[in-house]
Amino acid sequence: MEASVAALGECSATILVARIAAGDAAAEQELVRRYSRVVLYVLRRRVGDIDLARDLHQDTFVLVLTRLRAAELREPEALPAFVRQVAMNVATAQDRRTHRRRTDTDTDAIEAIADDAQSALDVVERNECFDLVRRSIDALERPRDRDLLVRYFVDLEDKPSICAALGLSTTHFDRVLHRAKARLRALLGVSTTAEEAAG
Amino acid sequence: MSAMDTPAKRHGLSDDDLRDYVTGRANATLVESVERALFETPELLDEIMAFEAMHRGLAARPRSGTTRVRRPFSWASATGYARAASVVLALGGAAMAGAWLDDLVGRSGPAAPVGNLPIVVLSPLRGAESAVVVEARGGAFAVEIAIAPPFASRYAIEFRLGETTTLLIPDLAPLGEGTLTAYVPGGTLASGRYVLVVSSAEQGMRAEQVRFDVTLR
Repeated sequence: MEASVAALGECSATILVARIAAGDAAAEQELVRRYSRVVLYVLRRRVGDIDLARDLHQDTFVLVLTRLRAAELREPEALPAFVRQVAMNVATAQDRRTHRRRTDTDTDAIEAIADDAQSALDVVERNECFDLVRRSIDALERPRDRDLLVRYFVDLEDKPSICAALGLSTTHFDRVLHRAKARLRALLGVSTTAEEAAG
Repeated sequence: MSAMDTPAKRHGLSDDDLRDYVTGRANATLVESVERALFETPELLDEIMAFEAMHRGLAARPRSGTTRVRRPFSWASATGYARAASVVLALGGAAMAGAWLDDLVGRSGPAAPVGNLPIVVLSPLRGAESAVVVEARGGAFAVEIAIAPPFASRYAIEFRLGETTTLLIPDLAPLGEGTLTAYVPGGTLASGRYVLVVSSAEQGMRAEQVRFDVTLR
């Protein structure tokens, strides 16, 4: 008997794996729903191209579902690690192909041209990306708090050195960081943790 | 679990860890820790996306006040984000702001996988008996190879055409009980008769090998 996707939302990996092996289509949908965003994110991070990542994402789930339908995952509780490993193997194969292509051509010349073309586009895109986050950052009343975020996220300074330079406690640092994250996540429409909501 | 927990904290990941991950400063160990946590707790992605947006948005923000030395930051990998963001912002409105995130990570709901990826199952016995024909037609395909008994924790797969290694996929981990799944991207291999070699150097200088005869069409 097939369970609804909603009913499977909180089920364990073990149950999900068993249901997929039993031919439950709703369980397959739940598997994809559960891991789709993460697989796509990690693949995009690895291959650097969203369209390619989408293709690899699709192939990853085909491979995962094929193995699960055949009941070949002996340790169902290892499902998250299994999905990740399939995605990594798919990305590794793609990396190899990309590398081989690069060595077949004059990579320095091509990358130089690509960098030139990129830089003009970047100017426009930076301004637009700035608008998105500006709403979150500008809502901070204290210039010092804005400075804190720039030092942390852009200059990549360590927390202790920022606190020392700005005369802040680590508690204040954490509060500013969490408020900024909560505000930004609200803008992006993603859920906010109780801690961040509390600010 | 307390109300103060976040997915990152439940996995022992600090703000510094997430920042280093999204800015590319994390070492291989940290990358693996973060990504293992991501798959164990997919809700962690929301936290990481907030860090990533903060990093990219602040880096794009005009600087004011005192000038400090800024560490190099490459926007090459940010193109996809920013392009998606530009579409959203052209439409305007905070309600639309989440769309570029959705586009990035597929929040709107993934398309159901279509089972059109050819998967070729190989076993040492079959490889010894006869050639396997793969009807890939230039597209992607996958090979699943039963390694019995497993002789390493990491393997490499080579497709050899004559004396030439046409495709080498290193550092593949077996999935489950000694089954190696290798993905071959579309357009990688031309039609022809290949020798597929599975090997590992972990056993020392003399690598163990499993060989298959694979014809691609």
